[in-house]
Order: sequence, then C-alpha cells, then structure tokens
Amino acid sequence: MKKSVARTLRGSLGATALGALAWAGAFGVSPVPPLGNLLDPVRGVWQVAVTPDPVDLNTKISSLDGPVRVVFDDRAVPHIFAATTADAVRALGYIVARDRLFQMELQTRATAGTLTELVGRAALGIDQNARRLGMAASAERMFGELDPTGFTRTRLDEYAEGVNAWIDEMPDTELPLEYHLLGSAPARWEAVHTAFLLRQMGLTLAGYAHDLRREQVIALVGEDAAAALFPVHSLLQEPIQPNGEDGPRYDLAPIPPPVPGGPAELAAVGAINAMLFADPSVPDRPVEASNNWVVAGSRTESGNALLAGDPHLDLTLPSIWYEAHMVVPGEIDVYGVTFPGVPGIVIGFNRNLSWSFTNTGADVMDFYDESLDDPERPTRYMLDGQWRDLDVRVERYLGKRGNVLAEDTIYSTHRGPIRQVGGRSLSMRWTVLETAGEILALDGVSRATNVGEWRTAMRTFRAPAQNGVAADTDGNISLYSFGWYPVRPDDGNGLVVRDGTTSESDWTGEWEFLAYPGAVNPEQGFLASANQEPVDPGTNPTFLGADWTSPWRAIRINQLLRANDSVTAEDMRAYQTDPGSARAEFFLPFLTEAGAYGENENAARARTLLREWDGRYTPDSKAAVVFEWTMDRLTALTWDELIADGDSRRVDTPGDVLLWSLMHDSDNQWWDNKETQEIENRDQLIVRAMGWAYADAVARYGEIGEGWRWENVGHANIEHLIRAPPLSRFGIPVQAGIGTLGAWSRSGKHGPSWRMVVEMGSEVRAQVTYPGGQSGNPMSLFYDDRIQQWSNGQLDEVLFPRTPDDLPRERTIATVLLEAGR
Amino acid sequence: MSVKLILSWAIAFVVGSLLFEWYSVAAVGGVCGWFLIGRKPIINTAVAASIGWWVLLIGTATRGEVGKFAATLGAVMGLAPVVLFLLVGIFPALLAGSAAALTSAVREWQEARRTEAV
Repeated sequence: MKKSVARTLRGSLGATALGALAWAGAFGVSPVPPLGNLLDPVRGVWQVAVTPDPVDLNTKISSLDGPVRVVFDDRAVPHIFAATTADAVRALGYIVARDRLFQMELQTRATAGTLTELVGRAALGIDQNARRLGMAASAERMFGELDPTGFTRTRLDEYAEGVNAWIDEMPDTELPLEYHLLGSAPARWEAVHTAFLLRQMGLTLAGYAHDLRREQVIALVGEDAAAALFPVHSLLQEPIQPNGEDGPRYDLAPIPPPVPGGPAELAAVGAINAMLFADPSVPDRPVEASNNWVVAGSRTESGNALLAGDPHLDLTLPSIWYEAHMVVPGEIDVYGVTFPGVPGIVIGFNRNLSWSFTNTGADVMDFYDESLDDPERPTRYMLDGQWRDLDVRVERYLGKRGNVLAEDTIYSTHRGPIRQVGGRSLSMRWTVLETAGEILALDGVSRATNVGEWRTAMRTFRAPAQNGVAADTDGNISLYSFGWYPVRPDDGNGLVVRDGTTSESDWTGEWEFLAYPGAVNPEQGFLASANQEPVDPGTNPTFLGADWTSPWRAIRINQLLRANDSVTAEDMRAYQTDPGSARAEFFLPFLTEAGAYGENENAARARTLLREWDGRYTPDSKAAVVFEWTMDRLTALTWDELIADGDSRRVDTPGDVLLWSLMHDSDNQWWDNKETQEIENRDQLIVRAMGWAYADAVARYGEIGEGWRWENVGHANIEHLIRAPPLSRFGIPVQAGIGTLGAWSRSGKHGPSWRMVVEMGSEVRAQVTYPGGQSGNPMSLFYDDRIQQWSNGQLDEVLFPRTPDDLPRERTIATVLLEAGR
Repeated sequence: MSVKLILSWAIAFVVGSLLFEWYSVAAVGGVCGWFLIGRKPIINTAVAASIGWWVLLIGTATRGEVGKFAATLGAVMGLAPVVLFLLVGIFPALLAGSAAALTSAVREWQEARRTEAV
C-alpha cells in the first residue's frame, strides 16, 4: 500500500514537473525566454558563438535569374557581382539579412506599430504612437497603389525575395541572439516593409510639429516674442546656396519681452505636451548635425573634385548603416551604405559620381483644427459647409502569442490622421505619409554619371527633404535641397494650426523643382551644408521652414574651406573631426568680458580658463568643460519663461543664435530670471552661469586638474537596439562639441553615423568608416571593430574592385556563391 | 548502475538532441526511466541527460568562443557565466528526470498490476 502511494506520488509529481518544464522550455515564463530553445547546445543560443563571421557558402536561391558571387573583404564588406540588377538586389537582401536580420525586423515593427508582437506589452505605447501617426497605414496605401510591374514595386519584391531566401534557409544555428533572448522567430519580410523603414526615417528627420510647439510658445510668452525667438529666417545667414558673402551675414533684431497668454491658452500647453511627450520614442526637436561639402578641382591639390559626407543619426549597435558594393557590368557599379531593409545604396559613389546627404529640416508637417459630427464617436467632418465621411481604421495590438492587447480607432480626413489635443481634433498633413519615389531616386543616383544626371534622378526624392551634395570625375560639384516643399495659402506661413473646415486652408501646391535651393559649380569653388537655412531670405524669402539649426558648423566648414585653396583628401578627413567651434568664437567675447566677477570667485576662475581657451574641443581641454556647462546654465536661466507652470522642462528652446543675438541687448527683459526677486541683466546671468558651471565641474571632477578633460564630458554612447548595456559601448571619446563639425550631442547617442571622403580622380578613391561594424552578432569580430577608428577620426581606404579577381586574395575573408534553382 | 550504462544513455540524449530538438530530452528521459526501473531511474536519467548536454556544449565550444559568449550573455541576463553553464546541465536533468519519474512510476504500476493478476 505504502509503495503504491509513493509510486502514485512520484508519478504525479513527475507528470506535473514534466508539464511545467515542457511549458518553460517551449514558451518560457516571462521575462525568462523559452528555456528549451535558449539552452539547447545544438540549436540554442550557444550557436551564436559558432559562426559569427562571414564564411564560404555555396547555395541556391530559387528567385535568382543567374549566379551571383559575393566576396567579403577583410572589413566584412560584401562586393556583390551579378549579371542583372535584379539579382544584385536579391543578393543584397540575402546578405544584409544574414548580417542584420533582427535589426531589420525591429525597425520595421517600430514603424508598423507591431513591436508588441515581438517584445510584448512593454512596447504598447510606442506602437500606439506609430499607428496614430499613420505611418504603416500610409505606407500600405502607397504600396497598394504602386504598379505591380513598375520599377519601385519590382525592386521591393526582388529585395524581399533575397531576404526571405535567407530566412527560409537560415539554419537554427544562425538565429540572431536577440531572437533567442526574446523567444521569438523571425517574421517573413514583406516588400512593403521597406516603405515602413523610409517612413521611420521620415519621422526621425522630418517629424517635428512646429505648429503645435509654436502654439505653446505663444501661450507662454505671446505672439511677438514667439516670432522673435523662433524666427522664420535664421538671424545668422551662412546659407547652403551661396549668397555672395565672404562670411556670415547678421539680421539681428530686438526680442520683445514675454507676455503670457490667458488661462485657456496656458491650459492648451499642457494638452499639447501630453500629446507630444506621451511616449519617449516621439522625437523632440530633431538633433540635426549632419555635414557634407564638396570642393572643386580648382581648389584641391590634386585637381580632382573632393566630397565629404557625415550624416549624423542615432548611434546604435548594430549601426543604422550597412556598407556594400554592387556590380552589374554595364549597369551599375556602386559602393556605399544602405539602410538594412532598403534595396540599394543610399550614400556612396560609383565610377563617376559621389554623393551624400544632410537633413534639410523644412517644415513639412501641418495641423488643421477639424470639426467633427460627434467628438466621441465621429463618422464625418465638416468641409466647405458639407459633412464628409471620415476614414476609419481599427487598429489591434497583439501580444507575443497573438492575444489582443488593445484596440484603437484611428480617424482620418483627406489631410491625414486625427489626434485629440486638449479638446480639439487636429488632423495632420505630412509629406512623409504621401511619398513613394525615393527608391527610384536612389537607383537613378547609383547610375548617374555626372552631377546633372544626379540632379535629374533626385527629382522623385520627396521625403524626408535632404540637402544632397555631389561631385563627379569631370570636376563638377553641386548641392541642392531636394524634397517636397508645400506651398500654403495666404501668407504661406506653416507655423499655424489652420481652420480645418475650409479647403482654403489646404496646401495649394509645392515648390517647383527648379526653384529648389542649391548651386552647381559656384565661383567660390566649394559648397557646404550643415542643416542651416538653405537659402538666404534676401535671395528667396518664400517660407520653407522656421527655427533653423544654428549655422555654427556651416560657418566653421566655410571658414576652413575659404582658408585653403589646395585642399587634400586628408584635409577633408581632418575637417570632419575639426575641434574648432564658431559657436565658441561668437560667445566667448561676451562670457569673458562680463563684469561683476568680484562677487563670484568661481566665475572669476572660469573666466581665467575661458580667456586662455582657443575655442577648440580637444579631448584634454579644461575650458571646454566650463564653456559647455556655462552655456547649459545660461540657457536654462535665460529661457525660464518657456517652462509652463507645474512642468519642469521648456516647451521649446530657442537656438543658440537667439541667445547670441540677445547678448547684444544687455538689459533685455529676457535676462531676468523669474525665480529671483531682483531684476537681472545679461552680465549678472553670465556670471551666475559661469560660477555654477565651475562649481559643477569641481563637484564632478574635484579641484581643477587632470580630471577636467573635455573627453570626460564629450563622449559617445552607442546603445544596442534592445538597450542591453553589455551589448552597447559607452563612453567612447570623441573630439567634438556642440557646434563643432564632429557635433557631439548631450546624450552622446547621436552623432556622425557614417563618414566618407571621396576623391573623384580617374580612379575614384574613397575613405570611410562608421561607429560599429558590419555584423549584428555581438560575438563577431565585425560587431564593433570600427568604433576605435571612428573615435580617433580615422578612415579606412575602401577596396573598389571592378571584378571579383581584382580583390587581393589576402584581403578576402569569404566568398558566397548564390546560384539559381532549388 | 554502471558508469557505462549512464554514458550509454548520455549518448542517447546526445543523439536525440542532435536529431531532434530540445524536447527529445523528455522523450529519451521517459524511455530511460522506463528501462531503468529499480536502478534509481530519476537520478541516473538526470545525470545522463546533464552529461549529454554538457558534451554537446563542449562540442559547440570546439567550434566557437563559448566562454566569451557566456560572459556576454550572462551580463545581458544578469547571471554569472557559470550559472549559464550549470543551467545547460540542470534544465535537461530536470526535464529528463521528471519524465523518468513518470514513466518509471507507470511501469512499476503496470508490473504491480501484473504481479497482482498472477
């Protein structure tokens, strides 16, 4: 009897434990991923350690028309040799998926608003925001409208075939680490996913709601002050399109005192904040810090045109970029970087042309105050005195196992999706949601043989608007701001929320292509863009945007290029990490000459440091630490009126150019800090800011000494996509500050995502790098191998072979032969 | 039970895991428990399963930097690398052991029924 009980008990416990372990093995117990697949030494996570680097491979892909040879050089860059462009694109999809599959899926889901299906409920807020912006819906709509046999659709399909060929044949042993950790499997790649990625880039670069911010600022300080603080045209003009000046031109104007609005206006500030800051993934003001410039042969030592480009984006591991070379004899021979998920080279060069981009920052997002038939459950909206049906879309957010986590109903007018903001129903029109020509443009650029063809190819590039720079082997240089620039009714102002009940509020057209700001072969022999206002309003005052990025970098690069009439590729490389700062040059005289130091010893010490400073953000600079922290303190003290009651952060921050402009008016009311009883002037605030900054530095690094090094403040933090610190690389030294060409960002998470210098001689020579590596596998030699080089400001000379045999054998690490068939 | 027998079963776990997925451990464990009746089926099955997976892990280690990877993975998961190695043995041990507990009990019950019938 006893034995029987023991047996039953053992059997029952065994069955229960077996069931529980099988469950844990198959499904995991949140947050622990499925243990079976994770720990399995044959197919589990351990395999990540086995094949981290490219290896020789010979495989068949059914969609190929012919064989494709992919040779990886010793920088893990694939050189793809195919007989047709279609096969080259398929191979690109296959290879990029092999190295970056998880990144491709994560970024796609971020736009589609389906992250919850991969990571669970934690991503619900991010997904809701993505869908409410209408990014995926618009991408699907545009994709559905593409001609199935047309160029763009065909390219996207070919790329998807390549990606899915890898997903289909990927052995368990190649599953990326992140899937193991999340207990997920890769989803198939749909052709529309590329459109999602381009929308995501649009959000990053052109997702700024000027109109709503402007409403907040007006409520807090009044219309006149708002217009002065966030002017339509930059006060400091160093435009992309040369304006005939030899240096920056000033348009300084007095800044009216703050006049707060009434209770209703102030209440709206909170409502807009609630919408704009509802989710931390919603971009605040875009951090714009990209540079590109070209120098004509007349000003270079070799006589060849030179091009430099360093687009600044989020610094992540793996990098946002993937480097590749595609060769199709007689069709394309293009080298550069692609976004994983995009079927072509985005920035790069071919045998005749090189090109790069910076963000234009034009205002391409407008809001309209709509009148709905029922604010709670609307079905129609009023337009020109008649009710029109709303487009209604029900969004379901699914969990990892397909369970419904939440539902949303998204309403749209003919302008775009509606969001509720403080009792108002605001529809949004945004160029990013209405474009599909970018793939065609990038393909055309890859094939262009001179700057004229390049410009023509860029005609279909609509969003996000970009300042494209190009140089060719004939010695031509060019720079144009390409994109869809809306023309608004009335005064053309894009900074107001317009009445949605009338179609007279709608965009009336767009800028003519030939009117885009830019230049070809200017007399000055060089062209540069650094996100500054593209065209001097003295040349063309038409509204293009507002509140432009301060032109410090533009001023600096133009200073350097004006001063050198024999530029070399090495000079171009050095300029990309030049520590000089026009911003420091402009502010230092005010900081070092401010009076009333006697009352503040720390400020006096800071002044001594700053007086001896050359304005260069070198890694060992002590003064740079004090200067930057002084600027932070001064900004906070000066613009305190832009913080709403009960909040802790400014609704918006005027550019440094405004602060510099205010410096010329020492008793302006804006200098007064509302937290104190006394009425402060400029010098009092400067002294206070410098004193605090010095004290901050002492508190952080001790008394002045070796610890006071700029590199301790100004470093890069390159975060892994799943934000796992062990997979991230923090505290990377950089020779850059705010406003220098290297353009350090305060978080360190934004910076030069790709650096390229190209010399357009009879044989094109290029040097490149980016902060990361080709592989998404943290165990790979090529996961983060370029970070040190990037940190040092060094570049790699690339291999640019015409045929596979041109690649030196000793610099080849693997060959992948893809053949047609099963 | 002899070491040889445990190693034989360990080989069965290795083969099962190579041919099928991780859940083969439960199946092999069940078979093991069935045949090891009266010879400490749970413990011996668990030991054999652990040995099997550690052998497989050693095999993986010959082809990749498993130690370095364990350090990275452990840091991501907030675990010491050694814990990860232990888990590679503990998980199949528990899985196979529980399967063996079930099947050995079933077989004992069956045999008891047969004895009672005789």
